[in-house]
Amino acid sequence: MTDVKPDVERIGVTRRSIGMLYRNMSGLLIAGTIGAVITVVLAIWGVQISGFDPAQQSLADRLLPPGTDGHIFGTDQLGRDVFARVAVGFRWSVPVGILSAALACSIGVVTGLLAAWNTGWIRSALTRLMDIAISFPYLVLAVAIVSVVGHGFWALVFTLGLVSWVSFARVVYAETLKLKEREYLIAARLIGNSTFRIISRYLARGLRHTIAVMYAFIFADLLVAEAGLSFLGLGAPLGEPSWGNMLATSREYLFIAPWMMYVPAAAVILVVLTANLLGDGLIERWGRGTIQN
Amino acid sequence: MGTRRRTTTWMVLLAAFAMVVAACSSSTDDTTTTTVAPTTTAAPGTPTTTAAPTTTAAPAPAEPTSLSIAMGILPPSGVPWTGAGSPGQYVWSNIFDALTYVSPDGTVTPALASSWTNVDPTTWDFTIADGREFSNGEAIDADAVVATFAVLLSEDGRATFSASVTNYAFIDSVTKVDDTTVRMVTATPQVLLPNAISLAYIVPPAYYAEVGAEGFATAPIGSGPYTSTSFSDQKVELVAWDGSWRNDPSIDTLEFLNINDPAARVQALQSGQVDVAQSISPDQLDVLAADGFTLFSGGRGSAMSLALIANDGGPLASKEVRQALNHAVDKQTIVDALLAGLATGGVWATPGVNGFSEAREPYPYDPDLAKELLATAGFADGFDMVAEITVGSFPADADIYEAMKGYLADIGVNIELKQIDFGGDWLPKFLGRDGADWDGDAFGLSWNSAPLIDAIRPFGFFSCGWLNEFFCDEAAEALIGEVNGAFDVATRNALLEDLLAVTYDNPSALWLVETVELWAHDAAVQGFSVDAFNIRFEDVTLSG
Amino acid sequence: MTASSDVEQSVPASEEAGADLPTEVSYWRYALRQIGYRLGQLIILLIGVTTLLFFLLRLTGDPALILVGDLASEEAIAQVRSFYGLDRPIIVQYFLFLGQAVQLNFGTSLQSFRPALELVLEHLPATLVLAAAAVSINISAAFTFGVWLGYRPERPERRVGLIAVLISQGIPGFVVGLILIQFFAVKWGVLPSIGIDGPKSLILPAITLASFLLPRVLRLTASNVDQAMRRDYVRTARASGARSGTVLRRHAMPNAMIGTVALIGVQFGFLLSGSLITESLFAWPGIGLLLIEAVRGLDYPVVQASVAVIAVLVFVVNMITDLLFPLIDPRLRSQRA
Repeated sequence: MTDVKPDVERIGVTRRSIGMLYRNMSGLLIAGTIGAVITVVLAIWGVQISGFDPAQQSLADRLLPPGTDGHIFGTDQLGRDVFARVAVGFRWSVPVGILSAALACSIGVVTGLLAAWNTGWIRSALTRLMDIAISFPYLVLAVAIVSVVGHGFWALVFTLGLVSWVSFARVVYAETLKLKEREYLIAARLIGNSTFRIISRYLARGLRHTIAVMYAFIFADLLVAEAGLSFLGLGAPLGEPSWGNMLATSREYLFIAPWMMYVPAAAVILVVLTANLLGDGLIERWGRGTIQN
Repeated sequence: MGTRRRTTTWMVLLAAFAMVVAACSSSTDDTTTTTVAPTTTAAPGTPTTTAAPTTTAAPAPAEPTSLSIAMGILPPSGVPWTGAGSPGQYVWSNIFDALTYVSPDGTVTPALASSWTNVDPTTWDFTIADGREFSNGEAIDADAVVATFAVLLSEDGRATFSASVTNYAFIDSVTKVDDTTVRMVTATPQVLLPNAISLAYIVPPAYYAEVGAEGFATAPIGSGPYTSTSFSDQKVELVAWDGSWRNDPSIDTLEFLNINDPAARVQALQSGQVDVAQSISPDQLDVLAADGFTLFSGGRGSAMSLALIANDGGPLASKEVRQALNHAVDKQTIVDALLAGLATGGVWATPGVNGFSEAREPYPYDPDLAKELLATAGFADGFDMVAEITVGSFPADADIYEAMKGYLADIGVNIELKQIDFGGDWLPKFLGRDGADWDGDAFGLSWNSAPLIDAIRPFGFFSCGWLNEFFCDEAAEALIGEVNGAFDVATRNALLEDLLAVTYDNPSALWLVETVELWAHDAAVQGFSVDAFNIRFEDVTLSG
Repeated sequence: MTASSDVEQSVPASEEAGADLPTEVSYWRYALRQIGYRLGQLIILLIGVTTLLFFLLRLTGDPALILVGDLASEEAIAQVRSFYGLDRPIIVQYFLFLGQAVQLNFGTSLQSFRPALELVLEHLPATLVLAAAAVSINISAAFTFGVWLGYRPERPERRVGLIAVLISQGIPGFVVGLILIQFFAVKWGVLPSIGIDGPKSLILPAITLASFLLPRVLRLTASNVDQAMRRDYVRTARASGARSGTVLRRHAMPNAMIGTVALIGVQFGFLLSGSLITESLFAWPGIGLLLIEAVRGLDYPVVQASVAVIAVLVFVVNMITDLLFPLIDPRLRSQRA
């Protein structure tokens, strides 16, 4: 056991990468914190910095290149300021990512824990459920959700959450199976602790780092996945300043007004990098004690 | 751990990869070999701005010519009765003919029927042109017509081919009088019957009976100037057939490709991989024109509007408010900015449709008047409303709705645009099925005039008896009845004009723009035109 | 712990198979048993997927309305519903569907009148080829670029490479596809970008589809190689004078590759959903495009058949990756011995 790498690494939880650049953990966390601060600053003051109302259209000023008439990053196909829209998108897309990753996390952790803790038919049923989730095309799920809830913030949160919970579930399942064999957990069971207490006190402690790291990565993935849903017409509602919407719209203007793609893509990259830095930083900090064992 | 074992492992892995690679190449080969028609389309290397591929083979007449057409979507099958407009007609109209044909100016002209007469208002005799045949050699005669309508009007046909049959479902019977005469009887007088059956493509009866819809789906046979060599939802290949009664085509093979993404369609054209592309975004116009492509705004556009629910009380019950909304939106600027100036703004019937009149101008853009009208109606401070719309059906439709929203905000009307799904949401609400009803105060409604090419079609939606009624004007209702009952074209057109005037004064919708379908083609393609919903590729040539 | 527990944990589905420990002599017997066992699971999976789908689809709308269109009359809608059996109670429809589905009959496409399963299987090879090519690209890139990045990550050029990989993670796949088309097909005219027409036409779509997964695969491989090189036994090997290339090849790479293969196996379903986007950019006649059209047109039989086929595909790929683990990981073998 000690020599064999833990399963979580295999399926990509500890996808450390920036960690390789800096051996020193505080560097990662500092860089991640700087990214987070920039994100928050842009989310709060970005629109003011741009100097424009993100919803203000002007058909006469459409597709202006960056720098024209005070539009730092140009305008889009309806003459709206791209910077202002991307800035207000921090308040749209980032919450969508945070909440959908949280939804995925809740479903995944509960399913994974139950599947690993129980044996017999409950485990079988839950592992089959994971199989189903992994092979079910997300397009159909997204269409069904949109038909019931309609296009909107919550539809997007549900869709993204429901397509990614199984990643959490599989990792939590695998980790819990291993933790169950640990001496302290076996001991805790022998002493006569209730199942609830074991799960909430001991298992939760053992899993929290894995979950936190995984959360950061899934959040980053979902930010990009939102653009894919918009491409298929299943993303954020029309006119909402979501980055996915902006990126999907920009594909028709990729060679006419490329700034419509660059600017939201840069915002996505900023947040993805931040999440990765924080995730890697956390691994470096906690790594040896928990995930590696 | 032995070295030998490790080597074995790596060999197994390598073998696995080799299998994957082999699978790739062999399957690709399989797919290529099934491609029957020779493609002489430009290799991607051909510079984009130069002429079409075939032109390089200048005066050699033996060289087969071909044309590739990038479509946004292809018809689901070769069975030509599963749709009434784009995209089916663009493809089917080259393979099939109906008894009649609606020409670009909206008049009905003979096709397989050489003439027709009314025996009485509900009885029509169609004379079938003599001596023509289908590409498989079957004769086009009264039996073929009767057999086709027997399929369409059967109980199963009415269900499976509903999209087409719905337009002429009023036909009670189709019988053979003699070898070249067919009699159609309708329940009520239907002056537009010849227009309506322009969609009822006639198929060879023996072949259809043999293969059924399933066989016909991939191997359709008709009487048009092209026959199909392969028909799938991704690619349709047609080859010229010189036995057709229509003009002899100059281009030997046609290839319709399904390129779903608009940006990719433009790139396919720019890279010379296709010669014609459908549904181009108006914003690509300048780039394509600079590259030497010819742009063509063709086909009957749809009238795009925001239907206003006037039945549920609230601000929209007021005629003045509805007029105000029409005054508030600058249609011309929308057309110029978003549709490259190619469309007409604020119309009920699009140009070319019977009932369109230059004299009836769109509501002029006048925000001050709009505010006055709102004040008259008691809404000086404006109001909030919700509109349920579908997007992605027409070029720039999402942008047009958003621009509309911006203009309405200027007069204090704050409209929330709720995007809904067409099949799952919009249709049930529109048709009022299973208790579905609108959640908002208005909804997006676009209509084309196929197959009648007549302004009457959308009046059904705005009438008092509509399945999910949302607008009812008694004066208009009476006129709709009179128009439908008229059995004289001149009288009918005069009544239609009155009806349009009443509707204009008491608007049932915020009329936005005529949608455009923008085509782009290589400069070498000559004679390309779109009639209503047909492209007659037999008239297209490639210049040298 | 034995080797098999690792395999088992990496994919939860195989947990009950723990009794069949692969011993050195009986790998193939183990593999056969696994396959038999997994086939049983596949049947449960298919029933689950089709049942879930059946009821989800009913939420997306009524196909009768699409077939009739906006000129519908009450009569026409009723005719269509009764013809397709859509007027029966949903539970009756479900059991009728299930009864047919077990005979591999998913019904006839409502739009194209063809047997749904036949239509789907006709589109399957194109998707398989595309997915296989994308997986090959991912694995080849992991073997080369990924290993290179992780081998000595502190070197400046590799840092730049890693940062590029991280940045590329924020770029949506369709943007990658459009940029590839713009350069290789439009500007330089060296590669085709539409349809299937010879092996050359596979290149751009395959790269585009590969790009959906590539950043993750590279990161994981690099990270695993880096970690492996820092392990005690590797350090010992290096300290005892083994050439670092040999150490990399013998110890670090197999170790890293097992993670890569597992990631690709687990993410194969995700890769297939990337094919929805790729196929619509490249007019690639695969299942993705078929599924998009069928979902839009509420063509229930085709959606049912496509989803069932996709589920089988994902399942089979996961099974194959499971069976590959004991073959790849040298430590698994050494422990067995």
